[in-house]
Amino acid sequence: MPPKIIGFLCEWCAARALENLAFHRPELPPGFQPLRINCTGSLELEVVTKALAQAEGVLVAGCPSGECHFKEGNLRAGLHLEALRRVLSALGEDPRRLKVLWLSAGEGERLGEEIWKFYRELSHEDRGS
Amino acid sequence: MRTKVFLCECGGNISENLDLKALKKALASSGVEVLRHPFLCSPEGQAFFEARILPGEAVLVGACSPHLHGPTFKTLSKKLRVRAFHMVALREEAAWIGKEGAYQRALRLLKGALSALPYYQAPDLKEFPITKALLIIGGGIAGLSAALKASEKELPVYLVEREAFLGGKAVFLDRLYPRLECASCLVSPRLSALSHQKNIRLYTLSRVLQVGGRPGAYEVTLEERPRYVDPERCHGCGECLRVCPVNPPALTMDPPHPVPRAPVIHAARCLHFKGEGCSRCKEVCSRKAIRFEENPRLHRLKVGGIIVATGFKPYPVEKIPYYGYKRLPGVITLWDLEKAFCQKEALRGFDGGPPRKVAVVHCAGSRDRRHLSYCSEICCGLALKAGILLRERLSAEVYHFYLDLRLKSPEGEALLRRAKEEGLRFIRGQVAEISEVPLRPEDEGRLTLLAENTLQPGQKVWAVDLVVLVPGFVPEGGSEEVASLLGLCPDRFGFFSPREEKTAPVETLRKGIWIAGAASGPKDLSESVLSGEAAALEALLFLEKSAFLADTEWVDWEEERCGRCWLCVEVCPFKALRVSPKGLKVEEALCCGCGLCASACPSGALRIKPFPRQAYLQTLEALANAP
Repeated sequence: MPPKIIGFLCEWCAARALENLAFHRPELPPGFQPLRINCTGSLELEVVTKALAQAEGVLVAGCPSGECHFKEGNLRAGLHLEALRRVLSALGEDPRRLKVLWLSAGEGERLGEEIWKFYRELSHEDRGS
Repeated sequence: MRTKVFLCECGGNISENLDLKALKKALASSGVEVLRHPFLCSPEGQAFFEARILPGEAVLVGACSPHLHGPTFKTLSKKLRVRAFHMVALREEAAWIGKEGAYQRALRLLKGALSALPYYQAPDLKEFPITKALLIIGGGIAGLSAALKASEKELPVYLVEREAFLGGKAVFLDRLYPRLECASCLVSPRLSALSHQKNIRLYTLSRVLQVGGRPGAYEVTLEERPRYVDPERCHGCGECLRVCPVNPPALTMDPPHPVPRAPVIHAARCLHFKGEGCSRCKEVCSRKAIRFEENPRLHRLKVGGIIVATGFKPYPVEKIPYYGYKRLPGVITLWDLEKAFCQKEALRGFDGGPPRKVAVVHCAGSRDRRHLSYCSEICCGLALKAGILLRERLSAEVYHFYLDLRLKSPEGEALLRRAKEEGLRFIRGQVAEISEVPLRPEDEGRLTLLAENTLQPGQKVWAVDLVVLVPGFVPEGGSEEVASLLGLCPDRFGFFSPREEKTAPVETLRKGIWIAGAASGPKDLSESVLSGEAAALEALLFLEKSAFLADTEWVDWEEERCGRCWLCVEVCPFKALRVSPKGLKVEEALCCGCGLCASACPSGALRIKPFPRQAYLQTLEALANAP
């Protein structure tokens, strides 16, 4: 079974990046499922943990530092997710299943590359390298 | 709740990559009605959409990105009084991102959205009154243009300028790119017009101290520093400037066309304020305009909207140590050169004499990861203009060091031809170093410039008398402060981001606040005027309304769940939450619905109505069950 990835994409940057990428008709991993969110800062950890229970990998992509449309949503999200990652490690889970990415709307290609990279990491191809 | 799903084929864009027939079948089996249209956004498609919806139904649209046609269908749905509306980007998030798995992705998107649909709740629309007055921050050309346009509608316009005189950088320009017309001839009529408009109130030497209230009814506090000269009495004869014993005079009236036409006393240089009892200016003034006793004043304004036109400043090139700006004589910036030309000051080279050989260094700090990673686009034209003027006025030999020449407008190329005909030399390469130490004995008394010529092999050495550095544009100092007072989002370079770069360039995400001029990115004079007037138009349209409609009541507070930690109040970036005796109070006009409060709440007592936690959890549930 190829790994499933749930991608929470901030609609101001990452979701737009995906749209920009989509115009080039890329081939993204079949298990990748995008989900739009209003701001990474509004993403509740309960939702992230539920996603982690359902998919092999969870990607959260938001705006680069200083570019948040709500001033500091990405900053808060960064703190929340870092805390969650620590909790995951403490619980013996692999924190690498949660990937956080900061990118602007213009970086569609990078988003594509990062999704593939994450996919390969999850498929154990790149582990340890 | 009856639910209807509309699937758009997007003229094959979606239908060729997705089996819509199978999708329709799969969704219909779960009891929803599925309708398909070849172009749902077309007038015919919209009519199809309207004709099939009954009030109170829930509607899910699977089409292009909600960034594109979201507003189209949302407005229609609102008109038709649907209970819930949602749109998924079937095209960008399924059809276009991979043949393999496209169908599954689409099905999951739709099923997820369907199960979340009952939980989405549209925010309420509410009316807010509007104060009929406009504040413009920044008296540069963009702010001026905005003020002049807005003042035609008879509403009070307050123009705030931090410096002592209006006009910003434009008044210190000598000639304009690309036709080399006289800058002051174009700018000064605008400045004069300003003083004729009765409803424009000017505040020079002022800054915004505090912004309170809400969109449509802002309460702004300004601090005005003393000028020590009463502009109402002074008629600008300049007698005081001549008698001032300090060198340079403690009174200045720098711009060639000063508005207001009254000098300013710089207390730090003035002997009177040093306690030396000098009052020569006061004695000589026939109008009795000198006011040593003036103090800073506070002004409280009530305005409905704010235009931010804080402008730019040239990149501080002294940060590039190997160019020696402010260290070596004879190294100046383009803006120093403009000012010198404008005020008819003599130019001095490295040895103090008139420069015979001049190097114009383009992109000083621009397109350089250590300094400015971007290109400011306008400076190439400004540099070319400066080169031609140096050639024509000083008959100097002029060398341009450039990376790429980016000349805007059709006349740009003609100007380049003219420059080449007049004998300006162009060297493609970055300047590595400017030094006072000559490499060859005959270059003693000149600046040595090391540069690469990428069109020829190796590094070369030039000896010149004057170096003109051409810096890129960065946001003006203090714009960060304005951003935090107004809750604006700067981009990663510090420029203000518009709501939408291309289609809403002067709007911001904040209601009742617009941006104009180079505060949102490098702009030349005409673009600044354009954006200033565009912002004024937006502001007038907004202020003309009797009230504005805004989404409100985004946040639901569950009193029983709340643990009173008030983390939500702490995290709210817009200060929209506060604690009242009755519990949590949301300042509806300030709330942007970002949802930071809800995600911070440790007890889940807050719910953002348009996208509650439950909607996401249901979506994930549906994803897990989907094949």
